[in-house]
Amino acid sequence: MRTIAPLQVMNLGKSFVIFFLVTSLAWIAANYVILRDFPIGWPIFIGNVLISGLVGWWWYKRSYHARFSWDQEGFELQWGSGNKSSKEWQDFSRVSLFHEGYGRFVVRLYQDDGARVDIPASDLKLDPSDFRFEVMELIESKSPAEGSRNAGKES
Amino acid sequence: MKVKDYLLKLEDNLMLGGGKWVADFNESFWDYPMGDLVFDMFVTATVRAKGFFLSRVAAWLTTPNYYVACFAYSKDPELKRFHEVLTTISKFLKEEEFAWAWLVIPHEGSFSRKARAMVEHSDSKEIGIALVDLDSLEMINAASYWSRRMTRFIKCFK
Repeated sequence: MRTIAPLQVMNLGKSFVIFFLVTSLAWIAANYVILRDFPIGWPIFIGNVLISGLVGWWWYKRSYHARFSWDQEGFELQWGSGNKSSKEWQDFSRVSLFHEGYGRFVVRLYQDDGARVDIPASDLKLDPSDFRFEVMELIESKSPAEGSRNAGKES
Repeated sequence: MKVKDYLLKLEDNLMLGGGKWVADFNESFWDYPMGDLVFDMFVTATVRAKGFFLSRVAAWLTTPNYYVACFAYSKDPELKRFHEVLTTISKFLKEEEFAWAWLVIPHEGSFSRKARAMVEHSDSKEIGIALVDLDSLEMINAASYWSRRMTRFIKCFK
């Protein structure tokens, strides 16, 4: 089974920005309550950046870091330290390439009942278009009655 | 240029390039079965733009939220099933409440005079239609508003 889990810069950046805003607001609130003042300077800013970096990294590894494994039979997708989601290609019947904005793509898999799973192709540093075709081939090869999905329809 | 290469460029242009000026084309299906046909490519979009908070508020206040689509169908360059293709798309637009659609028919070679005439005389208002000759890089479009508008967005040969 092939596994990839590259550093996902956008997700790390998102985590950092969230905690930078939180620590900045917390610092401002704490100083207002204690000192009735807003002391701002380079040491405070750098300290804030360091704290945000450390906490942001921890949060990224805990929640935003995607780890993806796949082979001919199916795939496993795990976000951070959360539960691993395992699926087989034959569970799905349709594939799309979905643009989430800012150049980030996911490969979206649809089940017959309308349920869907998104594989974050851009975050995983896969070529979204090529990976979409690879997944289409895997699903087509694993469909219950191979070649009969479009039965009665044109070739 | 091969049909697949052209469709990849078209998909990229709709989702990341000039297509953004018309609608937010955000989901693309290949080999999409619909009725008795299988479209080479089917890209859906909403006309309400996304963005950060203020852009979303502005779009929500100023733009209606309706869906549109772009279909590509290369399997019938002679347009023997042209009426069936248009009927399938019209039915889809009505059932799924899409406002309009583009139909791109790419072909690695020239189109027959009959095929050109069929497209040029097509009077479908909600479906913009264009034939794309990938050898001569020539486009033939219908006379409707969407057919004329679509040409600059599907002209992606480089």
